[in-house]
Amino acid sequence: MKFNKLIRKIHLGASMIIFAFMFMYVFTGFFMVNRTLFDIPEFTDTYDTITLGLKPGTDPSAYAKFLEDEFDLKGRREYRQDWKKNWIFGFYYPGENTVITVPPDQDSVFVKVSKQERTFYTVIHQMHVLRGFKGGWPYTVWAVFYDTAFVAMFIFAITGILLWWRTRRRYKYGGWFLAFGIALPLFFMLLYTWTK
Amino acid sequence: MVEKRKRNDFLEKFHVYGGLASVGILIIFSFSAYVHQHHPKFAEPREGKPTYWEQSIDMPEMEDHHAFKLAVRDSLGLFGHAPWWEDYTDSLGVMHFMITRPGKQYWVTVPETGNTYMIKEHGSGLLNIANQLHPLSAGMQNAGEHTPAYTKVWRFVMVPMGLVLIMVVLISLHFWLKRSIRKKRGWITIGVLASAPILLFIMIWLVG
Repeated sequence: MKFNKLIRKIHLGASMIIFAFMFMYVFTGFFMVNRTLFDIPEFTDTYDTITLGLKPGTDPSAYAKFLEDEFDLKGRREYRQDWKKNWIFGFYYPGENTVITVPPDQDSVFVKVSKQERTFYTVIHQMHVLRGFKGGWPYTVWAVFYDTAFVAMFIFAITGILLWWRTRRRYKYGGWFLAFGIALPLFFMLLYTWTK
Repeated sequence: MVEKRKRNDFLEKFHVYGGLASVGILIIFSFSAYVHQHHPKFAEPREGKPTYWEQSIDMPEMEDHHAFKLAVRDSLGLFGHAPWWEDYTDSLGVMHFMITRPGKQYWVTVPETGNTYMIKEHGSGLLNIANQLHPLSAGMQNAGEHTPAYTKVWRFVMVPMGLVLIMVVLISLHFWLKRSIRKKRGWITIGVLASAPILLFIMIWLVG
């Protein structure tokens, strides 16, 4: 009996954690599935080359902060090196992305600013795909929420099965529903495995 | 009283049976959410031994780079996405790009002269396919003329399953709120848990 109570509490707790996320992801996912209904604005790019008097050096993180202040940018900061060893600094903010390319041994920067008009769809899309730990504390907190939500989702599913198993006499068709629930994605997975 | 009991009975059955029917989807979504954020190695397309093949196709000159990749995909008889970021020109000036779909990943080498395209093909494991089932419903709309019909079926399965999942969670909360509503504890807990991610997102959206 104690075990049942514990599982029930965990199941309930998990449902509380996931319910806001589930609403958000099903809602935004619905619009993404039907994105052909929307007029999605294109990104418009502008380019410029600017001399800054500073090289990326050995601390790209500090350099990213320097660029952020210099160009008065905001959003998620990301940086990487491309195959030519150029440093690529990205500043991603819903509806506005700025990409700055810095050659490794020069102090001039090639700036590409991509802007997209903010519409209902672009915000919906941004909500749905927001993830990852990079980019500052709000993004890290969001990523922690996101992690918590997917763990809670898994726990909700497993504890749900456990609770049903202990009351299976009452819900006698449960086995069929569970079989369907497992077989459905498995069937599609196998289809994709077998399709040439 | 009888009606209330009948309604509760229906809700309970919907919660249990609906939850069991959507358990696979729930686990798939949970897994793909983990993969999207943490990019574990085990969910990447299987490296194993790739297979190489060649095919001759006639491609017209095209201005739009992405449209060109999609046209190559269709001419090769493949389906899937051509992600814009999986695309590069090597040191010899030869262009390579990826076409990906659940179960397979292809790297296409565009010939500098002639019309023979070389394709490096990777099969992917079940875990990778499980992950790709997530964006499939939204993302496989422009997967090309060779997209199999079952891809569309999956899209239409996902919408009702999503609604069932919301109902399952709501019923769970409904019964709990009914028990704890007088203590206000329920509303406060739900309010905090629901508003925290929403407020955080609004902050990110407005402040950056």
